[in-house]
Amino acid sequence: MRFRLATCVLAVLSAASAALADSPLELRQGDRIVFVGNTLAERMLYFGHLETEIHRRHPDLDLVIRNLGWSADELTLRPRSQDFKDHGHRLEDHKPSVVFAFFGFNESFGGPAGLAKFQDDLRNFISETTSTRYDGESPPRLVLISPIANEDREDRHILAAERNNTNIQLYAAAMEKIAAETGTPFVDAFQPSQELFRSAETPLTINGIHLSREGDRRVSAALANALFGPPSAGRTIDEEALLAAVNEKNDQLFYDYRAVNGFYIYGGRKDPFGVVNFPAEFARLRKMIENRDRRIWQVARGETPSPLNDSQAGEFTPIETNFKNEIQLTTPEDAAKTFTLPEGFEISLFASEVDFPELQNPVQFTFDNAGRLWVATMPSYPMYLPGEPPNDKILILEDVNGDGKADTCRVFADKLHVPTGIELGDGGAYVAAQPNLLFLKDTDGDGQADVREYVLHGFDSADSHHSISAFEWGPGGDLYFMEGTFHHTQVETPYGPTRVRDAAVFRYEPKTEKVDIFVSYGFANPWGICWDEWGQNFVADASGGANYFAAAFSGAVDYPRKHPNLKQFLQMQWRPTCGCEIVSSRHFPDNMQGDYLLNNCIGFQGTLQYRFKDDGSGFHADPVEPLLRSSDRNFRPVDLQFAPDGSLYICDWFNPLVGHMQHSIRDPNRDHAHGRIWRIVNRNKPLLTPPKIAGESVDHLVTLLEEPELRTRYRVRRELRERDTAAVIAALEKWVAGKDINDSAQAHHLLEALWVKQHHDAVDPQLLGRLLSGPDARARAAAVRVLCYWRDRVPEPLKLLGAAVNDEHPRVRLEAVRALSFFDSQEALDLALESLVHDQDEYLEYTLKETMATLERRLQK
Amino acid sequence: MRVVVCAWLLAGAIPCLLPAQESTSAAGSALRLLRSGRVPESRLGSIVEIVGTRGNEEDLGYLFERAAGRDWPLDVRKRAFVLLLDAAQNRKVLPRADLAALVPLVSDAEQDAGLRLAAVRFAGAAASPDLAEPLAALARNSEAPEPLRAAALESLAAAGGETAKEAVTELLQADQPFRIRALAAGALAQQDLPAAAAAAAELLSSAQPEDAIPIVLDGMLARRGGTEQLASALGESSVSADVAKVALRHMYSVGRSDEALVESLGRAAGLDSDPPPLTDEEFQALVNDIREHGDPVRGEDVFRRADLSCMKCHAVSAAGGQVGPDLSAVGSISPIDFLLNSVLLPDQAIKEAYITRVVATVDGEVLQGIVVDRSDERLVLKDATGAIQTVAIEDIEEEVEGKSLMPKGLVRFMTRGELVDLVSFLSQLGRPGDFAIRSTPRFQRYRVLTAPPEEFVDSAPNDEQFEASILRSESWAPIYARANGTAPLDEAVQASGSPVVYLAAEFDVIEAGLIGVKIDSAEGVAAWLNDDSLALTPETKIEASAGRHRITLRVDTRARSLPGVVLELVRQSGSSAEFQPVDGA
Repeated sequence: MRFRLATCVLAVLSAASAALADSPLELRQGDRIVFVGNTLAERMLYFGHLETEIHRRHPDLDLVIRNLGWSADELTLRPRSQDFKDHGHRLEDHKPSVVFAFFGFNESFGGPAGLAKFQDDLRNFISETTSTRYDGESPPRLVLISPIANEDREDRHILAAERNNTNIQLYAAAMEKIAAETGTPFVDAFQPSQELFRSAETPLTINGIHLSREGDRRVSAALANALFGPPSAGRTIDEEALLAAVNEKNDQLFYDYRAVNGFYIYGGRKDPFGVVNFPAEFARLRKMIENRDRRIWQVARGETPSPLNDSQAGEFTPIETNFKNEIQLTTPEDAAKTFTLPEGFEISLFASEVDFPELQNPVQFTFDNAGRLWVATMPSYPMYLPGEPPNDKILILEDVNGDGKADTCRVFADKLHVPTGIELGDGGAYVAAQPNLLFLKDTDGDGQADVREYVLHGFDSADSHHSISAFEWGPGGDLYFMEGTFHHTQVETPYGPTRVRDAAVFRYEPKTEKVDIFVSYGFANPWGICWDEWGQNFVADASGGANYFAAAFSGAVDYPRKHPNLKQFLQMQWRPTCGCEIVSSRHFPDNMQGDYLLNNCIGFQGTLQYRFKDDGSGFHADPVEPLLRSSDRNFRPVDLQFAPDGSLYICDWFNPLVGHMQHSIRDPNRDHAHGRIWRIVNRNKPLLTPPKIAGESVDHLVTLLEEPELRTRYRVRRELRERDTAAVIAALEKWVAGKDINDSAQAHHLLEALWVKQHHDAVDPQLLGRLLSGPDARARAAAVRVLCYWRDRVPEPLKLLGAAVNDEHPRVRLEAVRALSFFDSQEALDLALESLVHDQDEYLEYTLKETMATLERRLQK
Repeated sequence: MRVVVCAWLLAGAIPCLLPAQESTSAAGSALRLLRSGRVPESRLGSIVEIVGTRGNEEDLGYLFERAAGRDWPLDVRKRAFVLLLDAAQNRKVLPRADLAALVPLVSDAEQDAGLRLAAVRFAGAAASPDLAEPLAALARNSEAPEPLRAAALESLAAAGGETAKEAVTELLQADQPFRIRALAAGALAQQDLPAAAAAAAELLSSAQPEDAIPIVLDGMLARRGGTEQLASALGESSVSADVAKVALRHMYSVGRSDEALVESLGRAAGLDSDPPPLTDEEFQALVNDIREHGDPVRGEDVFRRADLSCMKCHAVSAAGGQVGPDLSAVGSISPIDFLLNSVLLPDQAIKEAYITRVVATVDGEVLQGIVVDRSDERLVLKDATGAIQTVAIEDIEEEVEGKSLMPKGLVRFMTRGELVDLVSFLSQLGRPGDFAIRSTPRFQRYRVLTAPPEEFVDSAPNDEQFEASILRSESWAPIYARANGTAPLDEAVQASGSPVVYLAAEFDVIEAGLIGVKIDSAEGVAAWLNDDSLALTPETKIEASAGRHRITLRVDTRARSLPGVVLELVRQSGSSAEFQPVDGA
């Protein structure tokens, strides 16, 4: 006891004297530095600047640096998937002699009320970190780094600095004070970053809170200067080569630390397969990382690095298949003969791996505004094999001569890893890059992405086929995607961290950088979302084949609470499913318009069809004749979309073996070389002339919002989204002038105008008010949804909702009760209860119960 | 601010003039709304629901007074008692009111039976000393309906005390009917588990297979340590092999494989004890046998056997139990070793949606099931029978990840050859051939009339007789077609206890129009569409309106050469009808 006390005092004294010296931290030969903390740290793993700055200041020390930053981590809240602790990335595993801690940003959203807890937590953290012998010998030295300042991005209406800096400063000051009290080295990143933001000509953050590559470069240099002083002038180091060597190491560290499929590596499903193949894989990967550490040291010392040689990094365990069914890989010609369709329909091949060998394992596709088909492929599924760089791609398939067959295939982006989802917009493509969301953009017009930017972080990847998928724009310009169970996700936003566990549908507003959990629900693995004519949406859970009416269960819940079981709007026929779409095409028969199409990829293997009817405040759908069925066991329809000419395209993953858990991740019979896109036409009706969208004038585009096809209007809104806001608003005003809200078709035009304004974040209380009080209940319900997302900027939102909870139509009441869950006042709770004066149904009761639960919890806080 | 409930409000006549409470719960909002006078009587139920599920003791006091009073509609009062019971059990909130007001409801035989039952059940939670005597009297009353007596017994046991003990002891005596004794043993288990185990063991030893053996077991299964106690109380006592089999089958059907009791009952039933786990070589040999010698047709017979209960939980081609995963395509995705493992070791690989929890409560209760819902307050589980059970989070003493609801040790009921055939069957499901997923709207789920009226065994009923005695009968049991769509007549004969069977199948018409009804052979078959007879040919055309329809077949198996019936709907060229057979459990 006495001995412990003595060392403790000594540690404090030596740390205190270090803090007082010019360099608050003196590094030693062979120090092992570990970064922990939030997204500020995590993004440094991708940029590599701070590590580079540290190495160039200590070229002879052979430092090992491991960045374990994790999106939205807090001192006492670091949710991980099951048994992550066994994966080898605890401090005990990395045995640091120095720890850099980047905390305080997410905590700062607790405001002054949360400060006392933060201070306690910080003291505990300091005490634990500086007293635990992670390496078995002595505790590490700890450096606290304050959060950076936020930056106002007025160009995008994101006033992050105005909103958050007071609190960040409060928390940073508390850190500084406790650091001084405890003699812990502390670096203030707030002040220097704020000065950098002030003096920079262009923004240094991507969203007000996260540094751009350039911002990270400058802030990293400032941090290194504060910690170690400027680099010594005497030595010249090839900084570019050093950064490249650091990133080369971090690429592999990323595949280790953020390995996808953790649930199969160390978690609940490591048996019986993962325990066989993964130990050798990760042993090899970790050797590869060490090989790359050495190259960093060589470059830092000014030596020419030895060529990379991982040949001694170890062998993989041979894996035999347990798939004993006969495998017959059908040719496209033979596969074409296996389809059954209703009278009048026919199916033909649009593209296959035969003509386009890069079409391997396509998982999601979408048409761009010029009618070209963008396809995300993922031959690296289920995951990276150490040493074999993944090369998944975004392809652009084009039917140049209009004969229904792809003529060209271009690679928009390659070297991706398991891109489970894609959607176009904002001049580029949003692509899943577990655990991140990637934005890809071609800025020089050569047809290939030259901008690659992570825009969101923290989507869990414990199961690579549960990761964010099925990307789809909502009518108002919010991007939806979803993840399955086993996942613990946390995303930093300018409005505070967003967290969810065990499955969700996300709603992301790229304009404002808001990320909502649209639905927090115990899905198994949702994979499909679609919208009807009036903005009602539906979610399909793939694994169990369940389908849900979204309005009922998309009210707010506070983490970690989830919505309880909701009834399904159709009786499940065949599971599992993958992808859904509403029929909206004059090329298809009249009686099919509005039907719900749902792919089934095991068992039935085709496209099921259901007909909607009203069910009180919600909907019910009954099965009608399926649109498509194949007897080819390899046919795996995983996405579907109506094309500009009104035909329907089906994305075929094409694989004899599809079970994620039933076979080894490395089962040799998993196919990585095939993929097909099919096209369904109706012989009894002509194809549509594809409307011209890309590059058309704004005045023309707004008139296309009168087109009957949902997908046309979807693409028009997506095109208008990228145009100048003032010009779009002006064109909309001209177009809607004189529209009569008493006419259902024209009320719909007004609704389209409202949605386009939502795309532009151009709040229009007047148009909203008109739609809220119009005669068409479907338009009123849609307007209440918009009101919900504009609630912070529309005057007296509760007054508007007070009218809506007493609406004569149950769906409007449902939307209003749902919207009230986003408030936190007694008045909102009383209003929600008012809906009880009117007739109830199962959905209304469910939604009211959920709104009550959320509001009660908030009020009792 | 404390809620002030004024006397005249309780009487229900005059609106309360006191200031509204300032509660942050939605119950406060609901009571404010009620007082505003804007709530029509038809909407009263919803308000009661809110107050009951979320109210504090004052709010519940108001609810209790109105439920015990007479001015609210009967169904609302009944519901109020159900909610009050739930609040007491799962939220630990009791109404602040004079609970002795329940006495007349418990005692008065002239009450509405449903209201009385709800009040009796709540009385157990109310635990008012005034209620012990009336409950004991009701439990002893041999004239009272059994559900009421059972509820009174349970409430008595929950309330505890001497009166309860005396009554339970009395009802355990041999002069009481078996069911009552079984219920009494269950009630005793809440107070004195060893004594209850002894009583249950005695009951099992004296039982006939047709007695209420499940009730005896349920009482013990529900208590922590109950099955161990029962196993040791059974000791060497002589439970008949048939009774032991019924008991085991019941345990498996509710997803319980408690080792000691299974062992003890297994011995009594004359079944082998669990074999040692297979070595890798043995496992591989079994896999090879399955691949080379497995007979999927025989395997399907094994799958359908009642004592294995497979179909109680699993559907094939969408027909069958809905507790475990539908197995229609399981063979097309899962290799043989995976399937064999899933039968031998059901806990090894569980689909996301089927992971269970086991909880033990502070009161010594044990529950097991799939999590349907979890909140700060309560955990809702679905057990292997599909029944929903709720437990207060506060009452959970221990919670562990459960295993599969699928019983372990099923192989004990099978020979090696049967296991080989069973897995062979599973491995064929969903693959092209006889076990493919159905590709036409074919009927898979039927109902069979159990014990058809004697007069309609040898002669067919006319349409009016059919409507009155067959269509309206409530004695229908589920029966499922084989994977190839054949409804097995031998099973139907067994279920109906007669060579003439009535089979019913339902379908939904989404868009009206012409539909074909196709039967493999009309030999020995008479049919009705809803309540009209239908002259059946191999393909009969019917004009069907939108909505649910029912086809009933009367099959005289003595006059039919085929062992089964295949019935399906056929799309008619040019008809816009959309339709779908009704599947499910």
